[in-house]
Amino acid sequence: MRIIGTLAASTAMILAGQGTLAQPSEKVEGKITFYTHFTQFEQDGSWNAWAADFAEKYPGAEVEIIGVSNYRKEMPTRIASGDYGDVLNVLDNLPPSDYAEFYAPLTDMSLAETHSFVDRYRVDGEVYGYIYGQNAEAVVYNKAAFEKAGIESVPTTKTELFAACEKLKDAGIVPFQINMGAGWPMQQWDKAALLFANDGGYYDDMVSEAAPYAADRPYGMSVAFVSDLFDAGCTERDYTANNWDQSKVLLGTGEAAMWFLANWSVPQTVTAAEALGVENVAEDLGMFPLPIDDSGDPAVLLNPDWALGVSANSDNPVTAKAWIEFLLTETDISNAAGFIPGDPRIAPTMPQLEELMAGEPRMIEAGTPSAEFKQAMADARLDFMTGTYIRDLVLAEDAEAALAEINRRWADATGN
Amino acid sequence: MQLTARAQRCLVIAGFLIAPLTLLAVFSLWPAVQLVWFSLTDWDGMSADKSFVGLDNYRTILFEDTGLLRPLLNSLYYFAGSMLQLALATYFAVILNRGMPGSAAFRLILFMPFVLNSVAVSIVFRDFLQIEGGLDALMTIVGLGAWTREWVQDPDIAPWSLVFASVWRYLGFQLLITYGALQAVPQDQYEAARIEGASEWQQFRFITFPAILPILGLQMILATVGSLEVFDVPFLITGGANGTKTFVMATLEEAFEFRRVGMAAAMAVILLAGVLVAVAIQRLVLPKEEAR
Repeated sequence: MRIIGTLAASTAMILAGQGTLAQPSEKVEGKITFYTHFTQFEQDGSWNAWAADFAEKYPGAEVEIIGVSNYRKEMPTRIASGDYGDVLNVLDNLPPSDYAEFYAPLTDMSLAETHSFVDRYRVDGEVYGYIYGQNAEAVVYNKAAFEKAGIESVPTTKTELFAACEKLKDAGIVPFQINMGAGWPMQQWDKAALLFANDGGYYDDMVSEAAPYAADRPYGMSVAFVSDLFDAGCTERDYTANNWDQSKVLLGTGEAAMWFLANWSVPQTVTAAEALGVENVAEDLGMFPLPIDDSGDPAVLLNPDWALGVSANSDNPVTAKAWIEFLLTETDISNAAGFIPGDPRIAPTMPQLEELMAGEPRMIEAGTPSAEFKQAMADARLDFMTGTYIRDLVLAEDAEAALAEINRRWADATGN
Repeated sequence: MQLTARAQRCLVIAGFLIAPLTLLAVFSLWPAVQLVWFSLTDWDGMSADKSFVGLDNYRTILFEDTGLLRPLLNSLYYFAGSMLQLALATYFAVILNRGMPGSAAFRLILFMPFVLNSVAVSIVFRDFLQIEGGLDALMTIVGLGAWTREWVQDPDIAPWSLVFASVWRYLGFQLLITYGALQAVPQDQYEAARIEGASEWQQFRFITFPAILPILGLQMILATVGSLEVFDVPFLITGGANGTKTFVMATLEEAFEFRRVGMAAAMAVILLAGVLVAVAIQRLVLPKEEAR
């Protein structure tokens, strides 16, 4: 009965179902291919260890792990070719309505009951992905740098934040790195719009707005916030070159004091600074919520990180699902990557997250940007979650005219 | 089995031709055909279905959303730079051709940048032009510290900094081509001119220049095509910030950020057409090789 049910589910599953007639599918065995963006776990041997544990738990099963360093750029090409392995990330620039075309439904896994952000990957009742973990978007700061500049407590209002920046500047420390040259870190200000809106589902309300980049609207306020930082000289002086690797070292060693990124950036910073021989970097790093205004009640934005899905063309979906479940519930991959684990039964182990949560800030869960919203962004040529257009807004000589132009493109694209 | 001499010759010719023609067809012609086909669809780069939209993409680019063509203006900076580069290359080639001591070493130094990997060159220049980078340090050492600028941050200077990097890289290539042409000029003409009392400038004006004119024409074509297709240097140094985005960068963005491969293909076809027009104009205006 189960096989018949699967057959009915989708065309893609028919192929998989036929495969199962030849070789019994109920058992977890055979070889699967796994495309991952976590290349750092390749270098430190973690992948091999996890794959070995998996093979031990399910004798006869084998995972071939392929690291892809530029996942968002390379995987679409691979997907277009039709051959994209068995397990891979659910691409975040794909509209949810297209999930069924590329991914197999994973609704029958027990994770559907326990995992966080399941609904984000649910389309027409079927679940297509399970997340590695959640990210808390907040300010990561270097305590030693704060101390050196004579800042006694973490800022809780915008005014305090800018005052802290001035003190840091006087102490010869780069106050707030925005990594504009690297490009992608500017997506933080796409995310911050949800903080300014105080609503995780704001993106979808935005579709019916005519001028979302106006100064009094959440997106406009978010862009204005980063522009203020930039204009006040709080950001790094060299803003065109991609200095991402260097900026991790600066934050780790205390030559720079802050950035607004999520918890995943903490382990990377520690690694970068310790590679230079600096010790106890992790103890120097802390996190606090981004004070977007002077209310003194800042919030933290929770975002799901990459989700794992199974290819619609997979010959061995049973093993693929077992691998996902194994990885997310029986390994420490989420904590190793610095996430709040997607499985709520596993507690976050990072002290920075504990510090962030200790103040019990308000939590805003980021909703799924709908296909309609993403289409509107693309039609208006706003590279959502890539940040080039935000960079251009910050650099614009005539900020008002540039915002008006963006509003016009948005209005044209949405017909509002 | 015996083959006639004629059949053998045909077989050999076919055998030699089949490899290059296959490569050409598979890696140049077929992709070009596909590009044109994509440009007539609304393909998003991933999904299996693409629908035919006729010339809609072209209409959008050329008439409705002309902002897409704006990065082409940046090519003018590179064109200006490439003319300067041509003048410099010719100048150095003429000097080196006179066979002064150490000219082999100079030739090597000038040609070296072209042999370097272009990504490496861009990364070197990125660091060189950074605030407090190599250029600023050098200027401070020689006492020009007061003249340092934000080379790639100041919107007025940034395009020229990038042009400078690209001139540095391609100068050697043009130099080598011009130098090759100079080597073919018979030395007795110069000897005769010198006996007649012609000055250095007169020798250049009436012997060297006419001899290398066809090569200069070719170089003009290469320079124009090159300045329309600039990509790696600005992409790696500024990533298009401060209005340094070029047309190829805009095309890539269209295809991979906004997932409109159809539109991007149309932009690529327009660029191809632009290049062909530029080449055609120059072939009409400039003297031809046969005219000599």
